[in-house]
Amino acid sequence: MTRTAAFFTMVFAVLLLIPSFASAQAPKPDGRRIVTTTRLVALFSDLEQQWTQAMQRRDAAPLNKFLSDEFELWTPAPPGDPVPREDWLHDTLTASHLQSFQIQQMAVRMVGDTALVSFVQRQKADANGQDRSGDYFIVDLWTQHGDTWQVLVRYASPIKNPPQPSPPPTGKQ
Amino acid sequence: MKSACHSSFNVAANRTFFTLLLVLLWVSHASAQTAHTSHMVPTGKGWSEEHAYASHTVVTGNGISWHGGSIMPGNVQVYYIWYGNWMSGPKPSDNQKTVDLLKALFDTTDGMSRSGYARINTTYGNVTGNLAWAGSTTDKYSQGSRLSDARVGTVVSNAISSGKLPKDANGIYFVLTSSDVSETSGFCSYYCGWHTSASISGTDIKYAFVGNPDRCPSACEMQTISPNNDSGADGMASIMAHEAEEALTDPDLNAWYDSRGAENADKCAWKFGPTTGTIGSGAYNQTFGSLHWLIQMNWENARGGGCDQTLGGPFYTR
Repeated sequence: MTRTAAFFTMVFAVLLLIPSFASAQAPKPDGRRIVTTTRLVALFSDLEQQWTQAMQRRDAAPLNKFLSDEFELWTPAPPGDPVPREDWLHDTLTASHLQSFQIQQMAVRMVGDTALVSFVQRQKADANGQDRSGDYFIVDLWTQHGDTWQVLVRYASPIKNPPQPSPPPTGKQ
Repeated sequence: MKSACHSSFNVAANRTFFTLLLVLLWVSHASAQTAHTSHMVPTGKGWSEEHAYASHTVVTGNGISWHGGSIMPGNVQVYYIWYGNWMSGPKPSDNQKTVDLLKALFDTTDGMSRSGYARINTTYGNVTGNLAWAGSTTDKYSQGSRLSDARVGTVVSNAISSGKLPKDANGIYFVLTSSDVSETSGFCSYYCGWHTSASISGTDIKYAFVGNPDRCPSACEMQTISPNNDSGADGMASIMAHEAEEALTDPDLNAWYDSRGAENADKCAWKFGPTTGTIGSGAYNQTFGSLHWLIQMNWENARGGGCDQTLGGPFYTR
């Protein structure tokens, strides 16, 4: 029995020492970082918030202001035709009900006077009695006209199995 | 008799076993606590001192909260790794002038250290905001011209393990890349810089990436005509101040941030307050020594919280 107790004591001692030894020796790139977002991400985060809040309020004036005359919405839903500006506006003002939303993971690329804005929108919403809640990957093409920006086209696709939001930064795994 | 003796021996053995186990558990727990709450930092005088990390004054109600992690106390050394070509790179700012300007940014007498702006950091417990440039080295594309986050870490690790820079737990290492170097996890489209920490050679090393914003002026520069006639250096200065402030108050990403995960400088990103001159025409809002800079405001953890240009100054929303 003495040997048994000694054996288990040794095993536990070794197990207890392993983590401290490992943390002292191995480099620990934990893969986490906190970024300074670009000026454009800050700008378009604000514009997308304003536009989506206008959808939420069903407020026609700002919606019209944000939409280019050529605006269309593309989704993966069959038959694959785009939703034209007037149809999108009509649905948004009469049938859609956006309860809440959150914009995440935005990136912006400028090409001349055009900005390519991608992000994930998490929302609680319904339209014509159908639940539209969930996460969507959205790409908006914004064009600049003088001092104002307008959306030329939106591509939106639901994310079937969205990755879980990461917890607040811990710095430690 | 043999059985009773054997039984009492078993009890004694078991007691010994569990006592040893408890002692080992206590030792393990105690060492973890010590590692968490203190560490040795250099004094610059030939010896090191132990600094209590977590035991600092915690204030609340200012829009940002402490989450139990360490801050960077006392004097903090700043180290640069000039990565790529900083002598004659493709953009005019990939040159010695940028190197000199950014060294001056954290100069102990003429830099931002001990300015009213740096003092905003003192509202985060024992953070002093004393930042001092302490050395630099160069790295000519050892990891290529397309860096991943991991390769940025390797650049820092190599600089320390090769002895080019000292191993300093109370330092911040900046990897500064010339305009021909990309950081493939989103430099220019998602971010202009970032900071993190990692265990390098057994020490918790804090480091940051900041690229030359002349690579993408519309994304990472507030103005191309800048106060020091060096759009790259002037653009980097604001991002570097941002990363330094966050490293001071949230070095291991577990100390000071708000309910949305925004650290102090995040809450004031791209907000400058009033300026001398017009933004776009060489405007500035800070003067350190003889140099003018346009540097974003920082979140003051006092008076309800807000972005300001100097400790105790007025708060501005843009």
